[in-house]
Amino acid sequence: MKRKHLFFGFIGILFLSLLVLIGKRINQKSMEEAHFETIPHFLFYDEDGKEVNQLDFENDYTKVLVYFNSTCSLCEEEFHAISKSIAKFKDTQFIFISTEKFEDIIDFASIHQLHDRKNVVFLQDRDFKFSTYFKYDVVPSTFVYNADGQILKAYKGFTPVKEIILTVNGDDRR
Amino acid sequence: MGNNYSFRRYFISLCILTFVIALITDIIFITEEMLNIHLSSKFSNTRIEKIIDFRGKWLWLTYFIAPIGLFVKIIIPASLIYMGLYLSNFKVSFNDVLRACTIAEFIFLLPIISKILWFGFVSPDYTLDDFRGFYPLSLFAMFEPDLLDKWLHYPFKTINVFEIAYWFALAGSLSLVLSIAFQEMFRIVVLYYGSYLVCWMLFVVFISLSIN
Repeated sequence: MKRKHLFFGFIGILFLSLLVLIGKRINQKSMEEAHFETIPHFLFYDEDGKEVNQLDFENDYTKVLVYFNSTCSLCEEEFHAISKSIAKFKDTQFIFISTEKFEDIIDFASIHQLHDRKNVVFLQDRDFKFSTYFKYDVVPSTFVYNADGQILKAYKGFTPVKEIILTVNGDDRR
Repeated sequence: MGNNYSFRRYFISLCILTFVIALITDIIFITEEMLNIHLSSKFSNTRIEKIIDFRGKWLWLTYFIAPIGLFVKIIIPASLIYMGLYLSNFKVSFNDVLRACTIAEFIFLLPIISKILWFGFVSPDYTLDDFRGFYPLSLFAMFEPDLLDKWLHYPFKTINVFEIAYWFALAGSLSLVLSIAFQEMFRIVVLYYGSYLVCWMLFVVFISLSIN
């Protein structure tokens, strides 16, 4: 009888401890999610190897942030579509981020006529931190933030450019 | 010796059936073309080729590991039930408990077979996500997976009609093998295996909350 009590006592303690741990984790998670409502603190590198963070993009533009890889066919399609429709984006700052070498990033950007354009920035995630900052690790991933840095929409995977334009141009907080 | 042979016989039959079902699933239901379509929205072509190559090279290994997993899956409830029986002053042999647990384990082939029948005959136009997310007669099937938080997936998949059927089958096979009343065996299954399952689900929920 005593052993039985011992067993169920152990199970009861285990059950309660797990419940407490889960409760704490859910609480922490909801705080983290609130953090992702705005553009997170990040650190990437520009073409000259200079550190760039979210404060460098404090301006009156809507921000379209695209995580990509030049070898990914869907990224190629998305780049092609953005490049073709770039005039349709009103007051927009584009930030393209990749983990690749800068030579490959620039080659890819040049092919799609996006290199050296006004309001288009290419950054390198050399420390592979993108998924830590943005919680997405899929290429392509697209994030649209309003001028105040609040998230308007996050897209995982290939996104038709029409949808991005609708989100950007529907931003009335500029 | 006879009992040992019986456990072995049931276990080998279970392994063979699991192997055949896995082979059918991997060859007929999860094709390379389907994998390609599924992965193309996530990875580059080079990476997809590497993933498919890797799968082709190492898939056979999963068939060899499966019996070990199956054995662990049987030994856990068997140990808990044996402990429950011991603490309730029933003198039984562990091999008999192991045999009863192996017989009940056949129940878990039913959801896999129903999945094969469903996608083979009822809904042959499916994607890899449809196939992987198909958990018939479960709480998970009642919700849109995208609307459910990821940490809820495992408990919602685990709470299903087959799991309940397993509890009854386990109590029934224990009752038959050990010649003890069904109600008594069901009480032990609920108290010992049930409490383990609840704690295990909570543990998996905690882990998935931590990694997602």
